[in-house]
Amino acid sequence: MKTTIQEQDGNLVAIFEGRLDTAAAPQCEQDLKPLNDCAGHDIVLDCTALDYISSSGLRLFLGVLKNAKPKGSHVFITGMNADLRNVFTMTGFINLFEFK
Amino acid sequence: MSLSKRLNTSVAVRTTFIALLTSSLILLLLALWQSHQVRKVVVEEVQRQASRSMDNAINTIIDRLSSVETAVETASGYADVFAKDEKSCYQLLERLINHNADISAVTLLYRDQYFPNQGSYYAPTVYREFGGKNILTDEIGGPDYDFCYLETDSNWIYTNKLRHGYWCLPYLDSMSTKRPMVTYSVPLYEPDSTIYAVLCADIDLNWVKKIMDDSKPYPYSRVSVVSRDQQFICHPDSSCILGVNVFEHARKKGGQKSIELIRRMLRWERGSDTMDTNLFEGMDADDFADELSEYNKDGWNSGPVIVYFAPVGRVQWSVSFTIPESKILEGPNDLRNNMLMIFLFTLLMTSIVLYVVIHRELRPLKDLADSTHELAKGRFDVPLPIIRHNDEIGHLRQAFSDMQTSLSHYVDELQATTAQKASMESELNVASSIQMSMLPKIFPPYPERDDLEIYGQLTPAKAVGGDIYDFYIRDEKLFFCIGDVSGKGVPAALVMVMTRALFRTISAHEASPERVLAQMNETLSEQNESNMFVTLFIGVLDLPTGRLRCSNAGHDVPLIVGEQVAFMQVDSNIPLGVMEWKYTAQEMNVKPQTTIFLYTDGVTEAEDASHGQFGEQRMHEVACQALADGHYNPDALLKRMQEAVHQFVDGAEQSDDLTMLGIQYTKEQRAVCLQREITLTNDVQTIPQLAAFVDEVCEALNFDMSKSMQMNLALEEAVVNVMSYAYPAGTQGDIHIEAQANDVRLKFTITDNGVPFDPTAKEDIDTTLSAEERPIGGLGIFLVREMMDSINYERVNGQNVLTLRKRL
Repeated sequence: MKTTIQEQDGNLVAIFEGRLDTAAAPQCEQDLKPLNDCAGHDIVLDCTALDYISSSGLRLFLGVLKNAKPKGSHVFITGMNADLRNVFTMTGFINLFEFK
Repeated sequence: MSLSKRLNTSVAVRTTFIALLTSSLILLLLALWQSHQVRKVVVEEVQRQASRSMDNAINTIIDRLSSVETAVETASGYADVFAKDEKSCYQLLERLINHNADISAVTLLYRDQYFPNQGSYYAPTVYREFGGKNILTDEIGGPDYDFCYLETDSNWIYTNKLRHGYWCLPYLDSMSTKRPMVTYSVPLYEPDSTIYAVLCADIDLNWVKKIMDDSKPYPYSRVSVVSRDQQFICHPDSSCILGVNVFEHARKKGGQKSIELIRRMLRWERGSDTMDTNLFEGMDADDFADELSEYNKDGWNSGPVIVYFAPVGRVQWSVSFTIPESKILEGPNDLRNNMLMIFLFTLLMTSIVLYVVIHRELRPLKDLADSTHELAKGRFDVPLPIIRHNDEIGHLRQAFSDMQTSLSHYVDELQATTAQKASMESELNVASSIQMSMLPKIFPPYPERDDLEIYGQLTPAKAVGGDIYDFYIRDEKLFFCIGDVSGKGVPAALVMVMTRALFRTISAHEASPERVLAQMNETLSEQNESNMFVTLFIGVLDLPTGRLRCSNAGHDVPLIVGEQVAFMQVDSNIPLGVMEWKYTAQEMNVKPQTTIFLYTDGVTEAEDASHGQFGEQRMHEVACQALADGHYNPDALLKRMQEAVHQFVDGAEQSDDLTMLGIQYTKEQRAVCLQREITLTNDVQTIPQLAAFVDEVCEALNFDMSKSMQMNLALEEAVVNVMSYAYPAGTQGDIHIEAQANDVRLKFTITDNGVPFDPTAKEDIDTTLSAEERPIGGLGIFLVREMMDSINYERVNGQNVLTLRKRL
């Protein structure tokens, strides 16, 4: 599992690669820390290369959203495959995030 | 209308008739008695009157005769002065006749040749001119006229013989007047005591008749006088006077009784007798002429008469009054007739008045009856007749009025109640359908399952019943219950609904039946103000294993129909809602093909017409028969039982809800085509190993990427849950995961030795909440449920066993 934070066009972009399972979640949480300081920027979670996400990953996503929202930042998800999107649909997360 | 019919239909006629009859009878008896009394009194009075009259007449006659006697005797005393001379003797005679009005003629009969110049018999006489006032003199003696001396009974001869004054027998005047006469004669003596003349005073006996007539008690009385020579001196028929012998007369007229009467009279007795015929009939006097016609009418000539008779001693006569009985009783009879007339009139008037009054008084009753007929037709506002009198009829009318009012109220009330009842009934019907809709009623309920067959039915005794059964599957466990709420009807139904709701709510996160019962009991006891209680049997059948845990709250023990028929071995505990209780649970293994038959007392206590009960014995026999026939799947068993109960009660009214539930465990063992296992430590860093394991299994089963990811997700979430909760932080333990697949489904069994932890008891998360409201945790089990067909938790032998299944 590899998580990269980039700045593109004024947005903070997090790029996920591999499996975001419970085992990977603590490291990923560390990697996502820069997103805490997101004032003035929208956040894009790039899931193009994400193969798998468990509830631990969903919790991280929710954490990012809960942090960004009070600061007026939008959180976008991009490039998510159908299976993952299915999980989002199931859990109602699809209503919480904006998709690009 | 005939009288008898009127008597039956009219009170007025009947009352009048009875009154008329009664008073007629009484008055008739009274009239008879009174008539009898009056007759007696009248007869006595007549007798007294007749007696008095007779005494009067007799005394008068005697007085008159005495005065004549005295006059003649006195004259005889000084006769010597005048009688010795043939001329001066006239002075004596004239003096005598002038001084005595009763004397009609006075004669001196001289002895033969007393006055030689006068021939053989000299008889100077002075007499009253008949019909005139002149006193005439005559000389009736002489050779050609000497009857006075020749007849044996002549005054001369008798007087000579007797030598004292003497009344001769009555005779008819020899002259043309033919008057009845009687003569008193006194002898005149010479100094030598030889009789030289007889002084005779003739008396016209018509005065006797006159005296008698004057003294007769009643104008219609007949008088008669009989002389001692058996002649009538006085008789209504003048031809009889001195003409017939009284005995002859009596013999001719009246026979023996009359003769006897005459005998008594001639013995100078005094008395009275009743004769059938009138001896003394006949009319001679002109003064009877008027009465004649009148009395003949009344039968003077027929019918009995009463004869009163008494003697006149001096002259040896017998006087008599004859009075026809009919005349005596005329008064009483008239009185009787008048009284009868008056009675009849009174009765008639009374009857008319009675009839009119009763008829008028009872008219309101007829009006009341008419009103009541109207009332009976349902016209409650019909006016009742006005009755002013405050009498019995007035009271009756008041009572009818009250009845009308209360009837009207009652009917209004009844209508309201009926309407209310109808609306209540329709509400009850709705309630009943709501209640029934709460029970599972689509059978078979799980057509996709091959391990379970269920059939249930509830026949309420009333529209809404207090019986309950329910079942549902959660996490590969069949939760089922059957129960009976005390009482019937709406209250029981309400408690039943509450019971069912509690069962569903509590068992949604509690898989131990005894704990479900305990919690239900707590709630029901708390709020149990109406002291209702519920018997309930709860079973939890673990479908993968066939393990059954059950707990009973005082309900009828279910039958197990498997290899044999037997009652389940469970503690009965106590019904719910009574008091706090620690419920116990029993556990058993249900072999495939076994049917659990649950029922309420509506089955065992179904009553026939003679209150005999169906009983557990019969139920057991029916189940045995079903088992023997091989038809003991729930559907067949329930139908058989139902039929047996129906046959038993034979049309008697169903007294209690009839509820049955049959559950057959039909799991088949299938051949295992895949078996893998792995053991992980409770460290999330072992998750990749799990992922590899799951991928391997999925690959073996040719799952696509998408399905593999779902399996991964489910397994990771389940295992992480176990790691997090079964092994509290800091504890070490293993988690054993076994994957097993047959040709139908894939099964993961996750076993650990941690603290008891049932992840299925967690409540589902709400996926519709906003980001701010969503809790961070709780997603894991939710995802497992979503990904797998079933999740099933069991605590077995101190181990948590979580089973996940997915259809291939």
